[in-house]
Amino acid sequence: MPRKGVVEPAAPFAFSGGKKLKSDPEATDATGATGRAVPPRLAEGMELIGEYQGSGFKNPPYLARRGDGQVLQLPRLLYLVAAKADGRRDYDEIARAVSDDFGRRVSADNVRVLADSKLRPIGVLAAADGSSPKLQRPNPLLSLNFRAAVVPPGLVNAITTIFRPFFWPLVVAAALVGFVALDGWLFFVHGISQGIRTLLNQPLFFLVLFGVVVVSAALHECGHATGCRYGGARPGVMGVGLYLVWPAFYTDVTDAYRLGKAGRLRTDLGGVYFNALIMLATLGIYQLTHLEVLIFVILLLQFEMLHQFLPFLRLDGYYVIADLTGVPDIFARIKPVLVSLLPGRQAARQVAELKPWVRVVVTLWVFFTATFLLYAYGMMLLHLPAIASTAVLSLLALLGRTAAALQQGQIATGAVGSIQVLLLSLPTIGLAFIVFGVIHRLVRLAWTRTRGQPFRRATSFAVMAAAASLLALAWIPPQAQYRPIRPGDRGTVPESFTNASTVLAPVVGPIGTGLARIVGGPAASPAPSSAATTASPSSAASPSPEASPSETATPTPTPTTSP
Amino acid sequence: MTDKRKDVKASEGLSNEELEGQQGEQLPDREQMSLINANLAVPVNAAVAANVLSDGSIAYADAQQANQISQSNLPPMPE
Repeated sequence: MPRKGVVEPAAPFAFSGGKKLKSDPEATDATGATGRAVPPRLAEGMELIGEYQGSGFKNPPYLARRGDGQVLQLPRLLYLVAAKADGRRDYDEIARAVSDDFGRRVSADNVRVLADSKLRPIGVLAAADGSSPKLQRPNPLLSLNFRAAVVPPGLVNAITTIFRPFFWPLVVAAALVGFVALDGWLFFVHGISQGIRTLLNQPLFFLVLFGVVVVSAALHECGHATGCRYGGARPGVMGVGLYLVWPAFYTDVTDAYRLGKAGRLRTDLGGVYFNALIMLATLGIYQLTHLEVLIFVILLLQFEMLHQFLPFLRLDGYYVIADLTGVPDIFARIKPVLVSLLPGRQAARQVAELKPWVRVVVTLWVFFTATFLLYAYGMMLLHLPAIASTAVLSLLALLGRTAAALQQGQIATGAVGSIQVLLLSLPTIGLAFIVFGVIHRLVRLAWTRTRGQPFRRATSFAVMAAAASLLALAWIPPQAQYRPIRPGDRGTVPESFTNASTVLAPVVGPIGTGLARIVGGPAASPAPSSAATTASPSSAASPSPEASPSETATPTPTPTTSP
Repeated sequence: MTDKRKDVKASEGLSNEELEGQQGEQLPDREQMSLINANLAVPVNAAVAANVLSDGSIAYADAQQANQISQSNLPPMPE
């Protein structure tokens, strides 16, 4: 006979998240061979960090870090149980100690349930047999791919020691004043024309600038690492990877979760702060040398800085919002927030637990991010043929120019061309990886989340099959527009919708006509007629003469003027 | 009566629902990135859009010639 309040332990080392707990007295004890309960203890390498500072939650969560580096967010009760599980206290003793701190009575059975179904599955407590098994780590949405660690933590920490004085308050204040003065001088006194003119007239500088971009990105990372260390956390490795379609440097500052709000923000802004320092140093060199191309370097770094503040991806702007609101993983709240917005639905736990003002900010962020991602991903998938053909033409043209330049002994132009070939190849690889990743994630989710529910599983796969058919329609000729992006194409938002409706016309048209017949009104036209005339498949199928490789828009400029 | 029931419940510990509500979450690693976006065209294009290159620029001189010039080796017709 099941006993009330006693809970079956979850499957070993799997999340029990959201599942109903069942009562089963036989399954509760973590017993050894003698039948006596083994006192629970923390898993090997487990560190209990403490309260998450400056949180946006009504009840601040607590943090712990596993031996494999995974940071865990725990409610207070789970944290208290973990804190009392020292390997000596039994469940009764832990229950008494937790009750004193928690302010409510917590029974020994409660502690046993929490240990078995909540703390052991995520690796906070050692398993019942005393072992600390290796757990799988999550692969969050929009994270870095193909990452490779380059600089080990020891060296990273040594680097941060060198840069540490740049975070002294007086130095920061002076740098900020200097940066404001720099921008005022650059945009309102000196101007940028001569910097750009010098660059365009001397293609060798493009090579130098590429080097500057790489060095400034590396120093940007040093800024993050130093900011993290300055606050008292320990940065991890630095490395390289591919973020969506961009090559990227990264620094592991996971340990910054332990910092207060100011420390976390210092870590977030440390990168762009170092960009500002590089600009000031460049200005200093300009004052000595009067090399106008240095003005372009400063301009370029300003754009890099703005790019980093984009809040929709996991760039610095996103982390600033996450740390200002005190919500460590806003991306994980996209689905709960969207579901909570549906009429008649109660706010999910992940939404209801936030402070009111934080909930407003997070909801706004989710709304804009979901819109941006849906639009960007949707249009990217629909227009893949045009993007692919532009990239191929551009690649062929680049290869031709680069080979010709190298044959003629123009080493600088050839080197710039080689870099551009590489930079053009990476986004194409990234794009293919995104498409594969999205499909893989969706199929896996549909398969695992519908286990034992044949109707839901069939519906999920039917919806995915319908979406795949639409994509096939967009990617297979004659509907697909395998023509490169032409100089006249503007790529505005209305234009993207017009193109999309043209691609989807054979499907959307009959549905619209059918609906119109059902409601008894006039038949809907298959697609906007203007779309058919402006981007007809017949005109798109063959590349127009003006879309020759030499005139195809390339992602990066190619220096064509001789020095 | 109600208070008594509450006391009894409190002595039993937390309810199943309260225990279910206790969820630990795995936070994603914080990997602060800098994208190597070597698209040097962005600042150039922005500068062109802002028309900062119009004064004294030779790199972007793109004046359209639309006037027609008539040439002939015949003497002008007497009027």
